[in-house]
Amino acid sequence: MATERWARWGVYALSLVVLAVVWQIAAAGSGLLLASFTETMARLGELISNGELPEALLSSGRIFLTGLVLSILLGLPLGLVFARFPLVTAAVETYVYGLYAIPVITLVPFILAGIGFDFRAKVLVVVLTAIFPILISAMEGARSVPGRLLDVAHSYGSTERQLWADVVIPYTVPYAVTGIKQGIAGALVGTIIAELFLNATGVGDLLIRASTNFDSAGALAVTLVISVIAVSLMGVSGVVERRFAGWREGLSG
Amino acid sequence: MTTRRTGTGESAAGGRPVSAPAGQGSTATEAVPLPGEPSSAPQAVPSGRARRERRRPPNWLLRLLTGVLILVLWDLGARMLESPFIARPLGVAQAVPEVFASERFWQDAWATIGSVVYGVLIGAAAGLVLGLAMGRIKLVRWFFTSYVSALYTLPMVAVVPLMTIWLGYTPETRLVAVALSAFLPIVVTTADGSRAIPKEYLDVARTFRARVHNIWFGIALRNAIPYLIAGLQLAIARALVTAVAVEFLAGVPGLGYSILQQTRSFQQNEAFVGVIVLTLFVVAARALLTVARRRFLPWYGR
Repeated sequence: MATERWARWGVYALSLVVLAVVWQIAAAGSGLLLASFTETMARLGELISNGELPEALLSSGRIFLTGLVLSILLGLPLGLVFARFPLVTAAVETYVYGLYAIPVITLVPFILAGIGFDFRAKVLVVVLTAIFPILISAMEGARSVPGRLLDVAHSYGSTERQLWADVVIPYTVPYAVTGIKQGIAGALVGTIIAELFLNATGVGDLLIRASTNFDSAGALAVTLVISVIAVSLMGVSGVVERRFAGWREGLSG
Repeated sequence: MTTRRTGTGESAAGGRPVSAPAGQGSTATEAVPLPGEPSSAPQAVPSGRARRERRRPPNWLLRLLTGVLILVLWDLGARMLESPFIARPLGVAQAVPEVFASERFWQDAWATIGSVVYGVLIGAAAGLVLGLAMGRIKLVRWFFTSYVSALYTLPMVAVVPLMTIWLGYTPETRLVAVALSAFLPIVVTTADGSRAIPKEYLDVARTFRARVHNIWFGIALRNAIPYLIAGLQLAIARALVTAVAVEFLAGVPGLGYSILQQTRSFQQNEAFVGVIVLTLFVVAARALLTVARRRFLPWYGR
């Protein structure tokens, strides 16, 4: 399989080279509209060295992190509580899924009119995009604890509190991790939406300015950076998720 | 093979099946299906009280009461903020007949929903081809995998400004953006589906000297169908977000743009009818796909 691994990496490398070449050639023929690979990299260097990009990433990152942390802090306990009490589950389930279906982007104009475009409003957008997968995964996790485990816990006279600490919460952890991963993806979208459509600040401001100035090198550079950040975030949370998935299989097997 | 079959099983308390509708457990950007259920039949966490089979109100009543509670909280919240610029439940209900009677509303709704439908069809057709090729041919998979997964992970909203540079501020930009955001989840899911073929199928196919096209279209494509349906459910939600984003940014006429305009001219209630219609569209489209899967592929579970 060693040769196959080499072949695979060879093709990966080739695909990157092909992209750079095709990009460079396409750019040469299209003038201002499509900046070439080298121009984009030069613009990226410029945006970093004049401090615009780091500053934008910092301000967008603050919104992203605050929204994500709030979503986790609210979503996990709410999900557990919703799943724990059958009455509550029956009452809220439909609405949780219903609210999750609302395209958050359509709510942005209402948030703009009702609350404004400050930090709080932006964090609200991020929470709206991130909280539902987290909440729903916690619900699913707590609800799918095998009866077997609960029976054993009951047989050994476990109290309500012990039942939570030793069975329900540990069992829910892998689900919660998956939910948080999806929450991160949601929060990324939410951050970009908030930064583009409330008032344009941070990364959104860079993108909008590049777009209105037909600065395709700038827009490409910023989009590339966002893409790298998104891929790294999802990659890391994927690794964490897989570790916990093993745990889950161990538990249910 | 768990294409988001989540939460199978019975709630111990009510004996009511608690099932997340397929496809609903997915955000616009989630990359991986929700956790599959463990092998043994899972149960809800039975609380002490529930175990004693206490009599409880029927579910429809609970749901109704929660609905009323949500509306009351919404109204109270709007009152507390003391802002006239917030939609209120009664106001929205009153606005419905007027909005539905206006021709403009239906034109806008069709502009947005139509572009999502066409865009998803175009994206799905193209995505199916690349997905199938990536699933079956190693070289193709290796070549495209980094681009597909990078673009799949990148929120499409971030690409919208670039697209307006390249394609201008037109409805065609919306269609292209929508098609692209539908294309990626379809490629990813179809590639997974056409790759994850049980080995026995391929062995049997080889034994019977099946041609390549038999393996591709007879086995790989069929195996990918449930994945494709999951991909479509993801694609529709993502595509709608992208469509609205283009309308906001480029001022392309459609329901998203008219929501923006109405909230600017203090017609919050009218605008909210648009949000409801778009939400219902997504819910209905996903439900239709779930129904189709259950009807035509009953062996893939609920």
